[in-house]
Amino acid sequence: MANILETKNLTKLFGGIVACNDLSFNVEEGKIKGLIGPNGAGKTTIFNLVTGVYKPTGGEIFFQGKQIGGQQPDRVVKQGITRTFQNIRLFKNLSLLENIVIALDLKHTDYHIFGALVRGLGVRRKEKDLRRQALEYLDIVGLADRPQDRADSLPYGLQRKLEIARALALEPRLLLLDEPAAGMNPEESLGLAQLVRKVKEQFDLTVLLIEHHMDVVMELCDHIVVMNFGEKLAEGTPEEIQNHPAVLEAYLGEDYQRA
Amino acid sequence: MLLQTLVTGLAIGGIYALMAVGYSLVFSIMGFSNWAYGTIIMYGSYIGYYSLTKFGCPFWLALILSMFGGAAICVMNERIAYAPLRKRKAPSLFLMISAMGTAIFLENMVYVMIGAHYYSFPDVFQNQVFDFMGASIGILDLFAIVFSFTAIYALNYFINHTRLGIGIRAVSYDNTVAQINGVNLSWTIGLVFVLSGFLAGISGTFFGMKYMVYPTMGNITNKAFIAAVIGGLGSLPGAVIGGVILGVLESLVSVYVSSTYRDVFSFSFLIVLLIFLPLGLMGKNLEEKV
Amino acid sequence: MWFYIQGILVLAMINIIAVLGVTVFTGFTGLFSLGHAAFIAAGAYTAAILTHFYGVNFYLALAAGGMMAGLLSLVIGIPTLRAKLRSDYFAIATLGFGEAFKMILENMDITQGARGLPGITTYANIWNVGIITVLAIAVTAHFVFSKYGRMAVAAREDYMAAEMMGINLFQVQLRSLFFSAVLAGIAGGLFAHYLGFIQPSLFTGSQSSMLVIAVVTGGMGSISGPILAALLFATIPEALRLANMWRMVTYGAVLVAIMVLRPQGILGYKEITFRGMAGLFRRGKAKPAAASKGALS
Repeated sequence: MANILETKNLTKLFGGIVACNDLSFNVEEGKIKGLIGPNGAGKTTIFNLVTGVYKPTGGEIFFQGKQIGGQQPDRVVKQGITRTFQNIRLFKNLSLLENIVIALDLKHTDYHIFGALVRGLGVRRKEKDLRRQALEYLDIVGLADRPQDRADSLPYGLQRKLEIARALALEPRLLLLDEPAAGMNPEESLGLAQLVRKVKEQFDLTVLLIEHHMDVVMELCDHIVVMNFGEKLAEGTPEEIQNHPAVLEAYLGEDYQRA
Repeated sequence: MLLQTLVTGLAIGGIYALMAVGYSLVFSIMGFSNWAYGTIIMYGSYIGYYSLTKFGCPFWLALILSMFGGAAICVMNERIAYAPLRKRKAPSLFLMISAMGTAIFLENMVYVMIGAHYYSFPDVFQNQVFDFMGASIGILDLFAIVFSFTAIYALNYFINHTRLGIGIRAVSYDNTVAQINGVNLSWTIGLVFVLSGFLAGISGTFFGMKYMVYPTMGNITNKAFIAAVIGGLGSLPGAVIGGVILGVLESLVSVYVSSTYRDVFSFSFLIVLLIFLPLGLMGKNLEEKV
Repeated sequence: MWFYIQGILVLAMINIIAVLGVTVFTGFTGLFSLGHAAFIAAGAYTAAILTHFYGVNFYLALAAGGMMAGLLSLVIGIPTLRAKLRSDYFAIATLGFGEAFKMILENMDITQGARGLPGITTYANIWNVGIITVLAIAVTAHFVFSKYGRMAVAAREDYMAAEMMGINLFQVQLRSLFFSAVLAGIAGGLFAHYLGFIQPSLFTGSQSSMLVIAVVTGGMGSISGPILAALLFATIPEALRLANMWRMVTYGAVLVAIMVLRPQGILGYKEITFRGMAGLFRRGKAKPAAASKGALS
């Protein structure tokens, strides 16, 4: 299978700080890849580089074979990469429905400015359609019963699900999830993992996942990349990673003996 | 001719420098532009004027009164219009709007209380000039330059070498950590506004002496802002340099191009700067408090 | 008496048209402008010059005024928005632009400089102004409830999340600016043809501030709020016979009071709909969502 995402010698410097150092890895199309590492390893930096929030200092990023390093975020999204945020960046003051509709606008709302200003029947119909579609996306994550509620009125775990639904509404080929299970208990994490697998199959996606909950990572990921201090530490299948000495040392320290 | 132009520019530059430093102080600490600052400068001017004329104070006393008057208004402004927003961690847009409201309120209070007349300061320095290499410098200008730079030097010393001053610098970097280290945030911010107010009072008086006293002097904030941008917002030395550069440039434009277009030049220069060199000469990149 | 009330209403409606523009730019897109008086002036002068010197049809001249204001907004908007200035820098840039434009008007021949342009035919009356105002409200509402409005709100709420929705911030902001400038320009054209006389000193930074004050007081994120605020500002001082100076003092104090006590303004994110009115009295339950409520019925 082809690589949907590939980084080559990717480097990012913030003044004297090396956030990312000569990092090369790839994500195979149709797989779920995990990106793990201790806090501060540079994982979210990778997401930011891929989605155009940061410009690379060096190296290249290829998406479906095309160079995207340094492009503006909105352009990256239009090409088919979407993400969720570690700190959840929903439109807090807007409703659940509106959050999804804004995402749907990208690929579905094809009327132009004059049409919008006149607001003829075609536009009105399209607006109704958008809301119907948005409800469908809400339904996938189990939030269709209260579409008018404010996004910030949801409990934390449901906010994360909303963010995923929103990212899906953009119809990506590659979905980047930044710690989707953060703050969840084991039962919720399992539910989340099931959700990710379900949407991956339903929408034929590739997923790159940053996560600290090892149970979620081991359950979902076909392949894993481990980072520390901005560099790639190891790469392999879940079994290989679990027993990799360098990985154990990075997470647990030198003196840890595997029981 | 050129020397004269430069000297005039330097004199007004010194006053701009004072304003820019007062403005930058608040910007560095609070992270927002105090739109009401110009009106406080204007109040300083009126206080100076009335002290000299109505109350017959000697000049040095009038200056001190305008300093303290400016400081008082500045602090009250902060307590009433900014502190509640700051405590609520309101977005900087709200602080700006509150500042704008204060500016409108203060400016129009002068209109209703005093009227729109333009007032002239009495001649404190008897219009003396003295000659220097073919250019004549007014004693007023000379005094303004010297006083401005002395005040700025004193402020710089205070900020860098006293405990209170270090507290101010700590707050400008990270106010949570500063508080953990024992800095009283409210008092420190109050102190910053006091200092800012001192500078407003002094620069207002000098400005009034050099030109005239009138309610819309508040528009001078724009000049202070431009000067601060040139030097780099967030940098106090930069504000000084920016003030001087602006004064000199304005003087040059006035004499060699056209005095009507002097302000158009300043604003256009500002816009160009904000687009191409937003950090100015020495500015720090301050993250917007979103 | 009717004539007096008519006068207030016409000026209030002209003001509302300009306020609608600033509502979209500041209230919905979240950008603070202190120079919109320049767009009003551009529209006023363009329309007046066209009818006065070239005998152009009034409505065409209005449209031309709107377009000219729109073009002017691109001149200042493209460089400043590209530069992604933070909000107070941007505000100062717009203020500087407004002042500079006024000075340019004072020194141009075609505008007859600071003396102004007298003798403009007073084509504007309560009927055509009323119709144009209603159209302006409709167009603004359509903008806000369309994808363009949503993109603007997203950009205002969380610019990074908005970019992750494929929204190009620069385009969205420029579009809002253009829209607001065109409305301001049309308001200017109507103003010129109501007053019969214009001069640069009518278009001050104060006027720009008043537009922003109306939007903030009425509620950022609401259309009916700023309209209500504009009406209140036009009528209450007249009813109380407040002298002009005290009016401004009050506005300043009101602005500070709103920011400190009720930053969402009169109507906040809500519109005057029946659901909205009920919301004012509701307590405890999950709050109804913001923005485009009306469109979802």
